[in-house]
Amino acid sequence: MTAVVPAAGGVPGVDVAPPAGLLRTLSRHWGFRVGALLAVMLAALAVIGPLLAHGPNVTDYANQLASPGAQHWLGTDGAGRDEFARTVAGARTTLGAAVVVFALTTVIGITVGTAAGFLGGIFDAWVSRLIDLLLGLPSLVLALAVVGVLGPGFSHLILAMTLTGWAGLAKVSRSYTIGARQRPDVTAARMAGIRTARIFTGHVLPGAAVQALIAATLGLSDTILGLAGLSFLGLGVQPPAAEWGSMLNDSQLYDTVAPWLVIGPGLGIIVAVTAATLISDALRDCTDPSRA
Amino acid sequence: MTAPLLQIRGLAVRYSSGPVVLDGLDLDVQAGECLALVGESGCGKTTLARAVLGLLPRHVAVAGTIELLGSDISHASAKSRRALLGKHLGYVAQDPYAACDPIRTVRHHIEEAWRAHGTAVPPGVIEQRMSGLGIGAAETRLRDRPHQWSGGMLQRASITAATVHDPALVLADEPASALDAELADGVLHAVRRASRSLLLISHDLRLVENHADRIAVLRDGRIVETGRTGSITTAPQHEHTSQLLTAADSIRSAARPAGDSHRPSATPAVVTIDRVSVTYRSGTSTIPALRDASLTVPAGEIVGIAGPSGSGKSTLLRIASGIEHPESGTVTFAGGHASAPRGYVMPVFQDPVASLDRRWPIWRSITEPATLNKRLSRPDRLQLASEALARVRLGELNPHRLPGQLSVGQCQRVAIARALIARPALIVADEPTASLDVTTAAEIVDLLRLTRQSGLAIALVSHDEALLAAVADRIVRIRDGRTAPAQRPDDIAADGADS
Repeated sequence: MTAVVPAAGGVPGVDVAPPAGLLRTLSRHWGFRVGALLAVMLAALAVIGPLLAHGPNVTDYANQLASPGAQHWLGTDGAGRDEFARTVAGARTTLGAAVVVFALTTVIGITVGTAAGFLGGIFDAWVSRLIDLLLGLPSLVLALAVVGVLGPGFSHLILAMTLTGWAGLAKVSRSYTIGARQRPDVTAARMAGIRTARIFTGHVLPGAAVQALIAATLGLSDTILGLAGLSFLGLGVQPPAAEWGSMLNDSQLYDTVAPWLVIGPGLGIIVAVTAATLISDALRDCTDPSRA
Repeated sequence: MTAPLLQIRGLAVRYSSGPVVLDGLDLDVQAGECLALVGESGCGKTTLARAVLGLLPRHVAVAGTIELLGSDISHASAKSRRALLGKHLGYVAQDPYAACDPIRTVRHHIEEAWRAHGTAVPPGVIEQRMSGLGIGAAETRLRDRPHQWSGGMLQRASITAATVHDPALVLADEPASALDAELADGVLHAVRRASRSLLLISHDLRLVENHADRIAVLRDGRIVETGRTGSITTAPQHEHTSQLLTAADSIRSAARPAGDSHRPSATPAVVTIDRVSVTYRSGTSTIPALRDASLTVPAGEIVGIAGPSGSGKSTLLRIASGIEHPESGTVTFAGGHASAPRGYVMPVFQDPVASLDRRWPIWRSITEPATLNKRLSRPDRLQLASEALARVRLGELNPHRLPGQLSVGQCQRVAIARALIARPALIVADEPTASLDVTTAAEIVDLLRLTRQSGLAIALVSHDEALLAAVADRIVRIRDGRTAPAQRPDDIAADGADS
């Protein structure tokens, strides 16, 4: 690709290699390596785990609250169900929901935020009021209200988390876009006659998207905790389906006789949140051009 | 001979990540003198000031000694240094607005000089000091916030704050570089008068020659020449000193290349602005930015627009660019169009680094205007970028670099290359040299003068009269939004001689 480029360098002695792509920079970042490893492990667990452990919903009342051992690695719960099998099955539900909410909030947030910032005017005014309104209400309470109106259920849970989650990302993208609109490089492109849509996709959107993605990955941990929290309150996944939050809720019934029941879902949440935070930090570090 | 007030021996400063900034520097400031330390940007001037003040970051390796009043302060603790600052060592920063907290009054900042040492402010002293520096009615004006003061006045206030305790030495780091040329001399005069001894840091040899007793020239972290001001400026020994002098002169003097004069009336105008007015709204009040301002830019000419800060220079330039429209009056581009065709006017900005997309390799920024009407393949764009870079004398530069990997001067050349690729009829340049040091500024001015020879017109806004006199074919003066008729620089020089 670089065949037509004349000899590299310009200032003698301070030659800098052309900047590597984002993925290559990320792959050299230690936080990203650890975070990605954790994420891959969780994903592998969710995908192949059910093959190793059978029947998350198979009850065995002869074997209630068994302690961890060779038969049941993480013990059994109050209905004699294998806790490891339920943790693995819960990974599918919890992480799947988190990824869906992440994707929906990111796309909605970036689209609405950059559009409001770039178009301005009455559209921006209305969108901004809506964002402020959503951010002003505690998101968990708002999600509770949504689930309360629609009734408990997994898809309602995702809808509630998406409705409350996009506003913060839209605000981040909107303020970035407003700043970018005034930038000299954008003015220069306008004066050269470059079409607005191209200025938007070339100069404004990439930066805004990166900003929103960083905020979104950081928010991923909130999403996981929010999902677990709503399920913990009994508003998410309905029994007997396994979900980390509802498993934690069940475990507290037996916290004096079977404390090991928190290990599976608790560790799962900790690992997922750590992975999301590490990846978010790495993204922020590696997308700052001044660090190139 | 008495011991020097400030004695620096073998000072070496090295950042953990980068190269050596100061490399075995020796410097003396005698009691009662003004020593000017002069050098290009990046030569280590500010690092020296920070070393003396103890403001270098922790991870920086410092070797050598800095003796103030006979004691070494190079590794002094923060506490012992605090007792020194203000009492024995005063500091005047480069940008007075950045040095002040915008929500505090000016008086608050000056009083800080006493508060820092836990003593009461003697009544009347501040007013007396301020009027000594030429600021009257100080009682009421001191209640203002920093942004309500002009740069020159606010810098006088920081000079007052730095000198109230009559420190043995005052350190002033480019105290006039954030100011208009007409104010710079006055501020240097003020800081010289208020200080017992002064270490004055500047990039401009000609600016300091009227104020300094001695001059030290700094290059790449070493002092290359020291001497009395007169001998340095008239008979420089070191090659670099001569370069600095030439650079400072080429911006100031009106020495134009022979055969470079244009007959104004012969060429058609690329843009004609006729009695335009613009007002800005600020809260409930309106501020007139332009009142019946007029400007004509003929093809192939450099028209300078001169005036103090806030006079409407930049607004006039935006009108000429067609990116802002006047409330009244007419703007006509060549061929009678009321709006500028695409790429007809291209900009060059004051902040070169910000004017390029920091995420884009420079080849993409440079060739963006060329992609207006046709899709270009990546190899074609790279080829085009290399040619454009060669035209602005950056042929060796790797077009894959990001703006952050370039020097400020290189970024400005890249911005000019981008402007040229659009094949504009007019380039509007808003203070294109204001963030560059003298040597680089002279190169940029040369480049602009060169591009003009291809029939391109340039509208050049600057507060630097000397620069405009050197390059402009005609100069339009603007004050409070009103323009005066254009003059040729020679006529202005003649007027000046008459009066």
